[in-house]
Amino acid sequence: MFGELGISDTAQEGGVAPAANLSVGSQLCTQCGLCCTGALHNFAVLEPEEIPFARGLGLTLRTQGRPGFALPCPYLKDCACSIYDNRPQVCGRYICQLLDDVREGKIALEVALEHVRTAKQLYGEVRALLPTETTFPEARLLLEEPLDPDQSEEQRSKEMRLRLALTTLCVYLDKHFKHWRESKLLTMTPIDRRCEEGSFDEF
Amino acid sequence: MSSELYRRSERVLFSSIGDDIVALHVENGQCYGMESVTVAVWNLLAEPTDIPTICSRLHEIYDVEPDICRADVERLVSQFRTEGLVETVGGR
Repeated sequence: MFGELGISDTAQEGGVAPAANLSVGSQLCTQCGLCCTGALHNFAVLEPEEIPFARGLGLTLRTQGRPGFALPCPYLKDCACSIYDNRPQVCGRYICQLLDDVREGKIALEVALEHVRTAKQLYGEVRALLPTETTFPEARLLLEEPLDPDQSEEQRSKEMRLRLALTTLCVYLDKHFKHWRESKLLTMTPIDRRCEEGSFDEF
Repeated sequence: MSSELYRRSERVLFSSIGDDIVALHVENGQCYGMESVTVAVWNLLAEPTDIPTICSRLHEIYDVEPDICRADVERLVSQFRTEGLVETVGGR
């Protein structure tokens, strides 16, 4: 999921530069950091030779077909990686759809930054509804659970607010951030798309 | 079907993100993403509305053949009903 998707500009630069000199990738990534939070992925892949070092860093090691560590990454500090020069290779390689679209010239950097602002606002709304110790990968599991029929009205209302906020965030991330090569966060129930496919032209 | 009035179900929560809508069914947890014309239909279903009224309002916004519009809206509302997103609230 958190795959080998190429080399990002962020990885090539290896440091912090004045804004005017930053590459598109750095300008976007340093405002975002969502790929490290667990909002986009549960897990980041490690190369076998990186495992001892990752263990030494105290990362929570997991195996999901391949070795890796659980997200969120504890070394993300205010949108920046606090172990940047020593970060796992996958962190430098990963390119989200938004970054890819900017680099391909499909959308302007300003538009991409607006998507980042919106996504982070949605992220903050979910975070505010979650218990402090609950991570986003844990929260997403909630969406797969059936509703508890024995909940009180108040509990149900609170849970539905959380589910809606989380669903909204996931839909937004799937649409703008998840790379087309990656699996989506949510499986949506399909809506008949014929209304949206060509017959209706806006005046 | 066309003379019946439909309205969004109270068992559905939804939120807007930009021009899109995300809807969540309270009882089964199913989620739905809506865009463009589907959003327009969904917004019209805030009040009890029939198919001809929906089509009439869509004709004000979109250039679309009447027969195609009606067929597409009937299909969409039918799916909304099947999914429990809208309810029948009577007829004219």
